[in-house]
Amino acid sequence: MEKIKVMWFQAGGCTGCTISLLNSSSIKIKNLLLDEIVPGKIVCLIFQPTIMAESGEKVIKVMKGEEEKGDFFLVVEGAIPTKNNGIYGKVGEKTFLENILELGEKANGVICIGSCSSFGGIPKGSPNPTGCMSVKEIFEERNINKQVINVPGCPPHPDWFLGTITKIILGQDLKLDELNRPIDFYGKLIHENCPRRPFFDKGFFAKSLSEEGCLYLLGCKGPFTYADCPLRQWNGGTNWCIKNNSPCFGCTEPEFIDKNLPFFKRKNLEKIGE
Amino acid sequence: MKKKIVIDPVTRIEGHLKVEVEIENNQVVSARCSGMLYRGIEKILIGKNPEDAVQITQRICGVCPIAHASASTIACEDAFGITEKIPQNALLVRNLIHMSNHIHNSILHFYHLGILDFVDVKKVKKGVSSEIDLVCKFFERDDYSPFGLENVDFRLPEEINLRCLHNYIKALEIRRYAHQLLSIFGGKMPHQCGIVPGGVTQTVDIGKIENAIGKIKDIKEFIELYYYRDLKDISNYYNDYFEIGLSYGNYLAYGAFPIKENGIIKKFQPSGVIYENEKIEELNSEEITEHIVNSWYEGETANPKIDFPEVNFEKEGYSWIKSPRYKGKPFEVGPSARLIIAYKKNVSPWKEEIDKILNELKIDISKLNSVMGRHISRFIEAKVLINECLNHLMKIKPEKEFFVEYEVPNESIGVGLSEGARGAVGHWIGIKNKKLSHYQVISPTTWNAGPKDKNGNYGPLEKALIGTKIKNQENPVEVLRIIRSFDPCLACAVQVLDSKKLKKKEFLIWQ
Repeated sequence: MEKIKVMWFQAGGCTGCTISLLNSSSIKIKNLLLDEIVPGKIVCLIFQPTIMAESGEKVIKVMKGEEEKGDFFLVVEGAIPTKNNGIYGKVGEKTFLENILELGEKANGVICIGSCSSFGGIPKGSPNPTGCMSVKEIFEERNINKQVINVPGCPPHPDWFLGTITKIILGQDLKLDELNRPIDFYGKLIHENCPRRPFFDKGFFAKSLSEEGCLYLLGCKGPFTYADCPLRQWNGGTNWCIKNNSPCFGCTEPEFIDKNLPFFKRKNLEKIGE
Repeated sequence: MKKKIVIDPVTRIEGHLKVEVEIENNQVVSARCSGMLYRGIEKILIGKNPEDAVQITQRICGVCPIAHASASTIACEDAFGITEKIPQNALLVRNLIHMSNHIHNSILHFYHLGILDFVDVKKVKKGVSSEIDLVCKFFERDDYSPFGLENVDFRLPEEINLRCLHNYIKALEIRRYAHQLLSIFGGKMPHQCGIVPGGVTQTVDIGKIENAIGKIKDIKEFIELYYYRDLKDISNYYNDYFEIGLSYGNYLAYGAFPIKENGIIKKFQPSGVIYENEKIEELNSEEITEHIVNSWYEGETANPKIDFPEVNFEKEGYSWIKSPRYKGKPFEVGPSARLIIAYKKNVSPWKEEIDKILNELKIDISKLNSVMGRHISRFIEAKVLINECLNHLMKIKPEKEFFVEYEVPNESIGVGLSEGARGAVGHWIGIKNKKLSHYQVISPTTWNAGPKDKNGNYGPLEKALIGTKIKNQENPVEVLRIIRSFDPCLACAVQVLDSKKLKKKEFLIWQ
């Protein structure tokens, strides 16, 4: 039995990525937690604060013990505060920053789940009160050479994360884009697969949320956002933002949130030609 | 001799919490709760468009984003002066989104955050169910996480223990259905996109109604059969937990789920205030202040409507969580608070449903103020709300409007009061030049887990810990059971952080 050990570290986030993972309807969460994903290979989640049984010193010991042994993948949820040496976030008497640097050094690789750990996300929003940075930025600043895979989204679709894990388990070649996102899931613009594309092409735009049509003039970021939401849809194929008549907020992009604001207005018309 | 126990991190809650208790003669004599993360979301909101706050504030918490979406939307509509104009269809759809989120949280909290304190996962055997077999194989492989509590007073007989464990895994799926139900109307979850100032983004057709009914049926069956039986058995074998974890008996609720009845907006779940288990009065939001005398902010008290307390590192104090107070007193918020208020106000169908469950469990209403009482309250809410989802669905009129246009005023203020699964959520906003000039959030966990106020009163969670008898100091499971009964959400307690200063002062406080 081959064990793929995963350590899930929560930094400055909202736990939404964890909850999104629990929503998985392809590889179900019980399979991930308890079962072999494929014959002979299991994911062993050795540290996950939201669901693990024990608390306090015992879980810190587990974390540190596994860190010593090495041979694990580090999953990071949430941005990392760096201002004032990162005092804004602490666990087990250490700042998130210290923890990430220590764990990151020993890990086989780092998977950033969500836009906060991938790009900074909401906590990095202007004026970035706690000096939040992404894992990649922190590593680059310190010349730490470690493979970082970004699985952004606010939250990311569970398939994007589990699909990435499955590719690693199967030993397949994981192609990343220039922002370190797996192109299997982030290879195409929302706009390319949007069911409202015909409205856009014909210039049929909604001017109010109560109208039918393309949502571009209401602030939709679909033309600049890479993700497969229109094909995959959310919550087991139930719905997704544009199907729900809401503009795309561009939550898988580094522009989320500052450059993507306001969410509900027209912006950057000139960008469409790019 | 006093002994100090520090638990950091407290797991199976939302966010980063550290709890310290001091024990003397096997009894907790003092307690302190510290949030370990600060993001400053309120600061990020300044200068942004008011309607964008609905999306940004959801990101305060990925477990209960709807409470913030709801409070933020209500605050915007108050500031825009359109509260009365929101179509009935929009209110109904928002409530469906909001109710599904509460239901998801009840199931998540009981099974996935709470139950491992009462169920021994290591007492498993093969051949009971395919789910239990998975757990057996898991232990054979000798993996550590997420299971494995040791040296705890587990009491359930084998059969019940196995059933609860089976339902832990079953509940993973049912909780997912609650999010699917939500996303039918909210687009996606976590962080829905359906609720906006002015109404909801999407109309509801028969396909959505049919899909929703199917999900409701599955969830309802699980809640009424499995969840109830597991909770009843656990409350029976751990019935001393009706006497453990009592807070002040002061309760506060803002009320939730507004709908129009004969043109007047009425909340399906009522607001109210109760003092010392007895005196009940109507809520007046003007009476809410935040005490910051023991928190590292400028000043002694703050009015959420106008004040934006700045951080002050030099000040005496012992926490970064602010302590909201009503008429200067500490109040517990959350499911027990809401139910006790609805019960004392005789509001239907809450009163009838609470009476039914209380009779079956042979307890009275005051027992909801306890560890087990909070679990029971969460169940009663889930049961009432899943049934109300069906009633709400039937009231939707697809041919009528779901959204009204509005103008953002140049200058205005607004208050949005709502309920998260964990309790009362309030957003206070100010608008200047059509942009946000003020934003203050008071979240449930600050009501419950804030530090001592200027009158020296502990926060309700600290109060509930003090006096607790600890059987085994090496593993103070009583403390963890009390903390988790409040379902704390640290990401929601926005303005909290830990600092090096804490370490020096700690010893003064603990003398």
